[in-house]
Amino acid sequence: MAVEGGKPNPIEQFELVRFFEHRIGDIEVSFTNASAYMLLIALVLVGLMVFATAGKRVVPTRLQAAAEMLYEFVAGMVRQVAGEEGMRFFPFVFSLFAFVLIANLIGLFPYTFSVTSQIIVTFSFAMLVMLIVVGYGIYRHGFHFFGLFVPHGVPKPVLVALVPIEIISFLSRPISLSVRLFANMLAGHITLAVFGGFVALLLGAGAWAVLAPVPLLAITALYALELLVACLQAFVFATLTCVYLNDAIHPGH
Amino acid sequence: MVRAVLDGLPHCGAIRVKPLSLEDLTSPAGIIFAATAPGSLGMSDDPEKKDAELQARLAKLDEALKARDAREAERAAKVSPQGSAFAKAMSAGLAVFSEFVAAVIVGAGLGWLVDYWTGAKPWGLVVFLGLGAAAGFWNVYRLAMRQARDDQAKGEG
Repeated sequence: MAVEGGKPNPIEQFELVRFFEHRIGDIEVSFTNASAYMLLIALVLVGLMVFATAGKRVVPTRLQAAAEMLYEFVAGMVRQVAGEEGMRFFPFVFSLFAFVLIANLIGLFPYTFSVTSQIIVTFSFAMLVMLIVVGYGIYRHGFHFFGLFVPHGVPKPVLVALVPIEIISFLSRPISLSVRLFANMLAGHITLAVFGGFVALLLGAGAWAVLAPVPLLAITALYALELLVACLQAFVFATLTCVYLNDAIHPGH
Repeated sequence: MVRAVLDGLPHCGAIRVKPLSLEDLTSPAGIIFAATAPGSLGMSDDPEKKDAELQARLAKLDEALKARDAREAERAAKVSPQGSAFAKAMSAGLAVFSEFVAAVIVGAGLGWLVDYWTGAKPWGLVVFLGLGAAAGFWNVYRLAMRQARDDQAKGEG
C-alpha cells in the first residue's frame, strides 16, 4: 500500500508495471509484473506437483499429501459435476483450478500483485473454457449441440422468445464467469487497502492515533475472510467450468 | 494412497483378508494390516471358488470404504467454518450480480451490432436489451433453483 502525497491510494496495487518493453508490430507484448507473477504461479504449481510426488511414498510426506489432496478434491468435483466422462477434461480443470487458487493465494501476501484481479486474465480463462465447450460440443454432437438452446416441453410459440433468451444467456456465461472471479478479488483487495489506509491516516492524525489499532483489527478479520474467498472463488470457477463442460458432453438437457 | 494399497489387492489372491471392521479403515496402517494379515488358512484350491471369494472380499472392502467416505463427508460438512456465512453471502450476491449484468451487457452488445449491421437504429438495441434483461432474470432464476436443489440435497443427506 503506497501513500502518495499523504493520501493512501488503494487502486495503486493493481497497476501494471513494465519490466521489459517489447513490441511485435503494433502489439505490445512487454514483460510486466503480471507476466512475472503468472510465471511464478506456474513455477510454484509445477514445483509442488513434480517435487511433491517425486518420492511416491506409501506414507506421504506433507507436500505429497497436499498434492494428493488437491488431486482427489478436483477429481471428486469433476466426477460429481460432469460425470465419469468429464474426467477427460480433468487435466484442464485441474490446471485451471490450481492456477487460479495459487494466483488468489499469492495475491494475499502484502506487496504482491494479484493476477486474478485483472479482468483480462479472468476473461481469457473464461473464453478458453467457452471455446473448449463449443468446440468439443460441436465435434462430439455436431449440429445436435445447438439443441442446448431449445428447452424441452415448451410450446412452439414460446420458443420464439425463449431461444434468443437462451442464446443470450449462453453468451453471457464467459462474462459472468470472469466478472465474478475478478470482482471478488478486486473488491477484497480494495477493502483491505482502504482499511490499511485508515491505519496510516489515523496514525498521522495526532491524538486520533489511539484509534489506529481498530482498523488494524478489522484487517485481521478481513484477511481470514479473504483467504476463504480466495479458495471459494477458485472452487466456484472450477465448478462452473465443469457445469459448462457437462453441457458440451450432454447437451440434451 | 489407501486406494493404491487396495488396487494392489487383486494380485495377492492367496492372502486371506480378515473380516474388516470399520475402525481398521480409519488409518492407512489399519488397511495394510487388514489386507495382509493371514486369517483362516482353509483356502479352497478351486480357482473359480477362489475368484468368487476374492470378489466377495473386494465387495466387502468396497462397502467399508464407501461407509468411510460417507463418514468423512459428514465430518467435513460439520467442520466447515461457521464464520464463513458472510463470505458465502457475499459470493452469492456477486454471483447474482454477475449473472444478471452479464446477460444485459450481452443483450446490449448484440443490439448495438444488429443496429450497426442493419441500420435499424434504435430498434435492435431496444429489442435485444429487453431480451438481455429477460435472459438476466432467467440466469438468476436458474442460479436460485440450483442453490435450492443443492440445499435440499444437503438437507436430505
